[in-house]
Amino acid sequence: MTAPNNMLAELASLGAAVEDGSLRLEPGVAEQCVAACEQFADDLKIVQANTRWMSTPSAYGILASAQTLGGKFEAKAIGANGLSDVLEQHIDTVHRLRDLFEKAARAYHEADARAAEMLVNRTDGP
Amino acid sequence: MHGKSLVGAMQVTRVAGAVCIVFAAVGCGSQVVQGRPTAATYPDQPAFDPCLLPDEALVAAGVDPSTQDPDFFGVRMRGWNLCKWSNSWHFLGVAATKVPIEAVRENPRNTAITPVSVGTRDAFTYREATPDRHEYCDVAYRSTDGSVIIRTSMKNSEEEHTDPCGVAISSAQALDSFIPD
Repeated sequence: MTAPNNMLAELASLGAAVEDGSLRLEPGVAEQCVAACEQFADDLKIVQANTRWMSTPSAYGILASAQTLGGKFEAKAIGANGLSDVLEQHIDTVHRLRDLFEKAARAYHEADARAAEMLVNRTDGP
Repeated sequence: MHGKSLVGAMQVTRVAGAVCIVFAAVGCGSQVVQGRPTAATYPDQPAFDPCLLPDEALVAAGVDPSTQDPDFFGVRMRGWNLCKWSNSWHFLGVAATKVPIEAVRENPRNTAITPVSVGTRDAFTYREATPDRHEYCDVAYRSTDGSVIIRTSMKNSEEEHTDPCGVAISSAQALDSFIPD
């Protein structure tokens, strides 16, 4: 999997391409990408919610050693920089990706509408 | 030679047919089965299994029954029966546990304990004292052999539904008549 920082750099580059109008996508592709991003982010959130549940039973162990082990597991799962935090970073990245595709789709439709308007004007002209 | 091959092919066909009959007899892959796939079972599981909650109860609680997700990443834990569902904006999980309600209430990890009523049950809401950007809240009450924990968590912190405890209480009330005392 691409590291989040590398992915962010790629996203920034793609974002710049969108801004200067050099990114090209087929009609409907951007919408499909938005839907895929939302599905992926949802899947990551399910893993995140499961991670929280996973740590719950460990809080009720009877043996002290089990509670200690449970505490360490909990830190790995939902503590600072634990799995849940890492998942959050991935979810943020996927949301940025979704925003990028939404922006691209909007730019495409706007450009298409402008082109259509210009054509109409030319046809209606003298 | 040729005849021998044909006999062999017929035997294979007969064996395949027998296998099909066996699969048909056990109803492989053709029926929707309530509950969870085969997993480790323990003799001391709680009596109540949330995965057996009927669809009507889940719909009343506002979640999609087809999203059912049993256990802890698919692993059944001793003394816990867990099932989870979701809709477009939040997750709902219901756990039956052998842990006494006093242990849930007194666990130092659980904070912001607030008494509430769910039907005729004395319940309370709380949050686990751990960092989490997504909003969540638990409702817990006593059961015959331990406790029931109902947890909601928001998919997005910016959701308009910003009161996870209110959502958890509403869900608990919708499920109340389907959960044994």
